[in-house]
Amino acid sequence: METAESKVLNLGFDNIDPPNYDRILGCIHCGLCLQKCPTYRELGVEADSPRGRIYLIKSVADGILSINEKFVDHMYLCLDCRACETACPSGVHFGEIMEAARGQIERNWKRPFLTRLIRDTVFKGIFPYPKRIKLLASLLRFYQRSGLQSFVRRSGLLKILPGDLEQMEQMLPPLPASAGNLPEVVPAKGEKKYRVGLISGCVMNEMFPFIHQATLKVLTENGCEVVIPKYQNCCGALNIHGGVREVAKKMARNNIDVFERARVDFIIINAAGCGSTLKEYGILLEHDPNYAEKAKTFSRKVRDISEFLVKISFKKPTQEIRKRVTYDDPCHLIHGQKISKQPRIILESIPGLELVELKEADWCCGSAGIYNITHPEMSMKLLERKMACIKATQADIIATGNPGCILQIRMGVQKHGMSAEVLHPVELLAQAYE
Amino acid sequence: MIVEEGDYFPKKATEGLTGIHFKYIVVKGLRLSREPKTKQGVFMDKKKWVTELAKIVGVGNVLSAREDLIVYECDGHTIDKAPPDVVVFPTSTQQVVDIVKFAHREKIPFIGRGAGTGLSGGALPLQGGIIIEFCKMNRILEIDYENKRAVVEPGVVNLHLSEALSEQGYYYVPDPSSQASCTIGGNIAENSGGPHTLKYGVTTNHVLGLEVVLPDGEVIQVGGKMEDPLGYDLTGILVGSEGTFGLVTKAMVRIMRKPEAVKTLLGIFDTVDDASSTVSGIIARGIIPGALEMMDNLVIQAVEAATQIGYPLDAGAVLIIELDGFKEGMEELADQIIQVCKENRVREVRVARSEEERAIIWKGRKGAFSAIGRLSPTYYTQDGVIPRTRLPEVLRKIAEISQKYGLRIPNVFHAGDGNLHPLILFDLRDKKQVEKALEAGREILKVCVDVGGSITGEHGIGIEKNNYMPWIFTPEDLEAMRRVKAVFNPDNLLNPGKVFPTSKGCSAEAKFYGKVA
Amino acid sequence: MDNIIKELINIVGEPHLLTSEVDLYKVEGRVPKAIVFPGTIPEVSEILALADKEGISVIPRGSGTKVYLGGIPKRVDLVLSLTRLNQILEYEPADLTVMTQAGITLADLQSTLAQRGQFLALDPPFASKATIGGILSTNSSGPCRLLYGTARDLVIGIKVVHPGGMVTKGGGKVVKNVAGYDMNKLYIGALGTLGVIVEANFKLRPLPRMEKTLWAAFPSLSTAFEAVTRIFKSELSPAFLELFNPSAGTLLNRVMKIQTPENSFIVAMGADEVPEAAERQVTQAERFCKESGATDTLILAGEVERKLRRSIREFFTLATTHTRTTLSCKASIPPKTVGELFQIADKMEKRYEVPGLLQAHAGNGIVYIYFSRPETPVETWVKIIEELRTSAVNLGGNLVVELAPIDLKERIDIWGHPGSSFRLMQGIKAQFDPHNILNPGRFVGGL
Repeated sequence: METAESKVLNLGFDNIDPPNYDRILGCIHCGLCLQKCPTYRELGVEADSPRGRIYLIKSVADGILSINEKFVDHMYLCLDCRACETACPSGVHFGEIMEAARGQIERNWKRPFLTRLIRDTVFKGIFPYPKRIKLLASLLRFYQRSGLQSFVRRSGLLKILPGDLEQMEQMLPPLPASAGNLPEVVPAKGEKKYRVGLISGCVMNEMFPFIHQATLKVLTENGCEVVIPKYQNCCGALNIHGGVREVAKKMARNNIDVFERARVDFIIINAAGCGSTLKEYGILLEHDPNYAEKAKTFSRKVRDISEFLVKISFKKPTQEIRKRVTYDDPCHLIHGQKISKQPRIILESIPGLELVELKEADWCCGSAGIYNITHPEMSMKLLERKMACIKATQADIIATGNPGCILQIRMGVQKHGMSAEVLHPVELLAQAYE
Repeated sequence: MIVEEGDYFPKKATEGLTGIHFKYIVVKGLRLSREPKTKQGVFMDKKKWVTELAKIVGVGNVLSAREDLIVYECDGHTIDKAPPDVVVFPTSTQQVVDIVKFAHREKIPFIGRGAGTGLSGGALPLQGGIIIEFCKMNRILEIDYENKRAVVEPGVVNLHLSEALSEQGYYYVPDPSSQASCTIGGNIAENSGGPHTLKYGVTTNHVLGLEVVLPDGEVIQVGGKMEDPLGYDLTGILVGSEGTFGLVTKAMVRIMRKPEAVKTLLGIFDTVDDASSTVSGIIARGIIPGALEMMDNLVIQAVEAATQIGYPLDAGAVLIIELDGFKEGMEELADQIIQVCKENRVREVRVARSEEERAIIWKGRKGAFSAIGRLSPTYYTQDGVIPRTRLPEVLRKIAEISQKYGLRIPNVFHAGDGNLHPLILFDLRDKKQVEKALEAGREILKVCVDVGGSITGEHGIGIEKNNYMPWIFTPEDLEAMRRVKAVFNPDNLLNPGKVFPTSKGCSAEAKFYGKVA
Repeated sequence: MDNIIKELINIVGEPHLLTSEVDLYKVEGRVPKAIVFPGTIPEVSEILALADKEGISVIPRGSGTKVYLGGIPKRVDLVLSLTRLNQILEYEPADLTVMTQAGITLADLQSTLAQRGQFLALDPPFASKATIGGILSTNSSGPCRLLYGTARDLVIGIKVVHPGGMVTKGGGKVVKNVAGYDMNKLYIGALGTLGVIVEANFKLRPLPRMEKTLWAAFPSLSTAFEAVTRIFKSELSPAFLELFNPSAGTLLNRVMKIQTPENSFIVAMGADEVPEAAERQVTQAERFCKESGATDTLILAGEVERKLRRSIREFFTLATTHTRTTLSCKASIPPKTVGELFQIADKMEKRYEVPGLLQAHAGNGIVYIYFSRPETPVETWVKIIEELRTSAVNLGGNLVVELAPIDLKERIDIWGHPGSSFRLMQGIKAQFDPHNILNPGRFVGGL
């Protein structure tokens, strides 16, 4: 509900999707979020805590602060992990407020030229276009395999890049061979019970083809006919987190149209970050007269793969996996979508598998979309914290349901010279269906 | 009162600002100029403060940018606001000493702060100056199971201490609802309570010794691991001094074995009266439960919306009754309690059969305050205490006050202690409502005082209720308190403006919220 | 002084001022000039206003059971007896609170409360005579402090008259209250040096449904202390946990007509609970004791148990009447060091040939030491006290001399030094009693 008065009070923001003032007031400043916020826990600084950030946003809305570098820094040091939402007894939708504030920043704050160039390229030039992602992935594969990468690294050429890019280069794991184009429809095995759509995503397709294959297998084993519409695009999560909302809206509208045409019962997503975004298309487009309703309908159909499987009482696997496994909750699954039991149920259903609880499993690993590239220092601190907990479990396999987290934890495993594998829970389930 | 319209409020911003936020700052007469001022009006360049403080704690541990400071202008009590001029994060007692000595020398007001979850504005730097933020002094220095003591730094989060003790079967008893965030240092300043104080006492009953930095920078030790220290009970007077006597840099606290058995019951009643009589009935039977908590219908609705734990939405009140102690005899006590509930027309009694079910029952209670945020964008929390026997009468009066002002007032409270938390719901942006809310709050506290109670059971006086102090204390009572304060804090640089009434010469409420009575 | 006495008579009336038989009220051998018995708080206020104006020293007094405590007063002019202020002012059983005047004896208060199945959870010695005001001023406590705490945990409000006549109160009538500073704490254990306590409000408890006590005899300190430690660290929550050295144990055995092997260390543990839980506690504790090497154990209930509790509580009287106790000290140390202090005291007993009785509220780290043999030279006592105090301080605690002959008290520091906070204590004293008229020189550091 937006009252006339709340508009008056939005002094420091423009009128395009300002943070909802009523929802800002929902924060009663009780502070119960503080210790659940990774950045507050690391820094102890109120402005880098959830209630502090909301307070800053409110101050801008009240016209007491303006959007400036300090403000921008505090907004972007947030991982948007939403652990605070789980902790918040008042039910404040922090993510929504933060993302709206970032949208304001992108329009009303001028970044340094080079940063702007890179951000524009990534958010506006690449992610909205599946073909460009594919092309970029091919180029990267060439870069990595031709020996060019080792040459560049040795040459010191990277030093001339801005910090972000250098970090980005180092983060990149070797890309597996492309999955190629996924078929548009995969029939159910046996009796068809559901017709579901699969979000093929951006990074997932190129970097984690095995997860898609596992997802398809698991879905079809459970009587699903899977539709993978060809003209879908990336969900827009990174754009939203980066405040590039208008582009994200375009991407959302396309996905909504594409899946509407596909006439599916459910829309399945195997990446937590994307799932959370897809479920919030309704909020992203709430002021779009043509799409507000459609977006809500779309969001209502979205299911995380683990959520869906447990809901339909998935077929129990029979193949043994004699491994010690621990599960790390992706933030956008446990906090963004309140899904934490389901992946564990799936893992526990696998014969022979020993599931050990991970201390601070609900704690962000520091991946947070592109956060590990933009804020390497904080990201590494969180990763180290995560790795300490992981080590304590002595697990052979770390399961987690989000590509960013998988990459991040793989990096941690490598850094610590561990031999553990990092997999998506459906990969394990698919194996156990053999 | 003239507002110094420095660049704190950009001109353009204030023009359009019709909201209450602005009004409060004006009426409460807070200093808004960003120019740092010392008490004597001597100006010192703020940059110099920062340089000096950075020499003590390092550049990374000083905040001075406006964006960084504004978030410290209030704690859990958001009606009053006052930003600091600088925030420092010491990591050792020596650093605290150096900061305090600097402030003392330069006559800069200063104040300690933990997590800023307090509900009476205890952490507001009313005269600006330095906030000494203790969250980086958060080490548990020693756990001494042999003596059942723990030594902690003030920034240790209450719950983190209990978590650290948990493996060995121990815990730190005081459990304020904010325990997941609030710090032991803050608990000591405010003498915090919590649901389990009925049986085990509040913070003061669990603190044995302190290391304190006095406002002139001298470090003293009071109490210790022994129980009966020599001389006056300075530990006792420091606990609950609301951060106006000294800065605690180390605390020795009692730890206890977790009770081996806990039984949690949820009684659902049609009326608040029935639930209240049940409370009296339980006590009359000679049973002191570990906790005895009540929530009324409005709270039930809010909590249910937040947690979906299955409270019936039409219930008049629920009682959470928790027995703890030995397995032996507990069944019988529980049966007696259920009997008392039945005698008072309970609709249903649920008994938690697992730790999970117990956690669910408590989740509703612990999150109740914040869940109210769902009913109303803002609310004003009261903390009155009354003799248990006056519960039904006082609750009826609160209902009348609610009607009179046309404001909803849900009640969630520690029924066993008679510690009420009426939450007055209002919209911060509606000037009329704000005034009504403040008026209603005042009336409720008056009712509590009239039946022989107190204006605060656990939140403290702070800046919120300082002008109600004369309701329960005579000028002589206050004078005695002033004398003690004069010993600890003679220059009044540490946390000025708290606890004592500030409006001499006009009615107590005149200053409060700027309303002239 | 004659004028002052006239004024005092004006305040309280002739019958309530005593100038004869003042010898009975002497403090450490110093005889007061008059005893005044005010009947109202305004009277107390007027007396203290007068005393402050005239600079006459005032010794507040209840029943005088603990008059032996503290240093030798610098001056003793007037004894202010509170025995006429002995009314219960408000008692609301359903609220579990009581408001009482300071001159009432604990025994009288308890018997009123017991009629409603409640009690004030304090069990200091001299229970039949000690007054509430005296108990609070001396912070007197007993064995059951382990479960129920001490005065500081039970007082919810207090009314005090200060030098100059200012009457103030702290706290209130409700069990939970953080309005203003916690002034109650300041007066408890202040030995009346800041003001005269005239009223107090307490929180009460329902009487326990069952009281049981375990009595166990051990062949050595190490076995006994192991049992104490196991009980202390276990999930049990005893009402009291006492440790006695063999001579103290023998004395108790004799009084109680309990037969245990000669020279045994005794551990006594009480359980106040519902019957099943009390039974469970003593049974489990008995097992701990046996496993730790107890030679004999006994579980007591009923009349014998009550007598035993009484004897433990009144051990001061037992010790001083059955031995020629010359020196009694109270050490407050961390609980786990109680065994060590027992060893140290034992060594001194042998080295200086002073028989000693030792009683410990072991779970609280409170140790009472009673040495006898009056013919021991004062120099030796001084040495004993110094050594004991050094040990207690090294263990992380303190040692207070309680009962001692005057010539010894003259030679020693009764209390020991309170450390870095003494400056504040001096400051507080100066604020409330600037002319030093209340119990001058009797409290810590000569306050």
